[in-house]
Amino acid sequence: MIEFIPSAFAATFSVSVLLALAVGTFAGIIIGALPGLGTVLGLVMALPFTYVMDPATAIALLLSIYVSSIYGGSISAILINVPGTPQSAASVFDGYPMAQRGDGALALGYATVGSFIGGIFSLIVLVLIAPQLAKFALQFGPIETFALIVFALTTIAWVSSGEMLKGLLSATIGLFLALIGPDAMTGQIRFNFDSLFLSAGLTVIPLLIGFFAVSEILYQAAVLKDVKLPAVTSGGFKLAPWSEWKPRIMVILRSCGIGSFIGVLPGTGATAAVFVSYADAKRRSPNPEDFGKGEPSGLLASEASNNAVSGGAMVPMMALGIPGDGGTVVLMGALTIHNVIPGVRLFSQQPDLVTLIFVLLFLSNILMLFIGGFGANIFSRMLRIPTTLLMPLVFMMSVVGAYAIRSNPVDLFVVVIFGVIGFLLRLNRFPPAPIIIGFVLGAPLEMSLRQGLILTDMNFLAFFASPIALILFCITGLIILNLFGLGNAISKRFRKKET
Amino acid sequence: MQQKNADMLYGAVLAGMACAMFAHTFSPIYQNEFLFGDVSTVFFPRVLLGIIFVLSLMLVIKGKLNTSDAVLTQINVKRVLLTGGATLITVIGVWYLGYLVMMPVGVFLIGIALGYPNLVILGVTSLVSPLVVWVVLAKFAQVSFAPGTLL
Repeated sequence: MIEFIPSAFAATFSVSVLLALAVGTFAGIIIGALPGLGTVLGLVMALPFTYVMDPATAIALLLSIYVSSIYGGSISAILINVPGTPQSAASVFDGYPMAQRGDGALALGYATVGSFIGGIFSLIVLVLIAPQLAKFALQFGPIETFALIVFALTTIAWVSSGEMLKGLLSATIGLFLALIGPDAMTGQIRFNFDSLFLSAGLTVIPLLIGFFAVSEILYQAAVLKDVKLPAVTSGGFKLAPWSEWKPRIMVILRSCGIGSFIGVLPGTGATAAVFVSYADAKRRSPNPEDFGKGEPSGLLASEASNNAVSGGAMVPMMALGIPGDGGTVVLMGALTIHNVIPGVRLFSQQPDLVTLIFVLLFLSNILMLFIGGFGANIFSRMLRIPTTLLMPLVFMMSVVGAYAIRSNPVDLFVVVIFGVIGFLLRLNRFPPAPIIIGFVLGAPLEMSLRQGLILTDMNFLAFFASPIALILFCITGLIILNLFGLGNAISKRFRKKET
Repeated sequence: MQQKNADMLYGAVLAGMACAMFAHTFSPIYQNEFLFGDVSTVFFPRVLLGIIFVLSLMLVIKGKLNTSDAVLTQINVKRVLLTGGATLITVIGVWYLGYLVMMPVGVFLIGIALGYPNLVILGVTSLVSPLVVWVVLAKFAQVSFAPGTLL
């Protein structure tokens, strides 16, 4: 892979790619900073711009938005006490108290550098782990692939905002939606109900625009309390002296490690990582009583870990073709448009492209540091734009993105229909990400199951003969046992015995 | 509506839909001869629908046992209906009249439905932003926009 680094840098240093990186970073920070938007909506809105771009430019735009929007969420968390993205939820604990006592610029400095270190750390993890994982996964046959997808979907559902049953239902509904249209093995049209449109099957882009963007607009309409402009505390950018950083190096490194590890697990996401990192930093701190009152270590733990998730979350997506969260599923859908199919064969068949992705991630993090630092004042002013003005623009970009993919007006109705369905599901706390991830993994799951059954003469029990599949099935089984509450019952019994 | 009723309602609707789809898999259109010992085309859908049915029933049971706070009553139904209506009108309008004619109206309608107070800013935004996006994407990047079937 090292031999592709010069050509990857050569491809990067073209006007279009550099411009895409700069615009993507700038737009990503703003999107992350504005409460109500966030990484997924940012990527969805950028989709139509990428349709006509060459793959390198499109990937540059999307990756820079993906990386910088996670950091952008910290700006509103620090300056207006509202996290711009769920990933920055823990940044409000210490960021906002710092801004309140007049250290807003210093807090933004900590957040920017912490995010940069987290991003670079996770990139190193991605470069080290993903190729090895892909190499290992090359041994996978249909049975192991089936076990892996079942395991990934169960994990995604398990960590779905504490609503595992609804997460599992969402993932299964997504899997079912993928079955509409022609059967990949026999060509038989399924579940079209004599509709010409359904005969071709559903495509991922209108579906994810509906589930993520339109459902978000309706959800905001449902829950918006008022349209008052938030009071913005002083912005700017200021770096703390080295003496302030030195005692916090271990906090940053530990948070980077936690973020990257949690990011690799499918479905766990940055929100879980920031709270684990924050709790860890507080537990190990000599003065935990300062946490929540403007302690920079708390802010650093949160920001380093949420950006460290970005590279970690790309490990299963790039190496196995399994997106772990909403951001990576949109990224995967967008890459597919440009004939870049993430999965085990990406590393062996397109190593030049993989290297390019690594280089672009590196440059996105560098740009995030500089644009985040120099543009802090501009981003602070952007926070005055209310959600009620942003949401119509999100809808506008949704319509553009849904139509442009196939120039088919029916896709616009698909977007609205699935937007309404997504909204109704979200009202009752059904998470939207497992639906789309299930949809993406539906076809490979069915294919691997059927191929596995043919290989084993329709004997499903023979699936357990594969050691890799057996381990994955056992872990999946344990997660499902937890669904039925058996895990709690067993642990209670053990505790009773101990007492 | 309380959470327990919402879970029961959602579970019942999903279970009903899964049953209907499961029955549909026995339709004659799926009764084909299998090639090369292949698994039936409706085998996997039936497995999935079975799982959806079981999970939906579990949701119904969970809803019956659960008595947490109200969820569905906390939403602004009027604003949701207005916003949903505005999005639907915009999509129908884009189909018939095209993006350039309908999108400014759509942005304005959705902004009003969501409750944005300043009509001047909203008016300017709804006129300028669709035009800017159209110029950038249609003129420079050659992205296709809905032309409208009536125009």
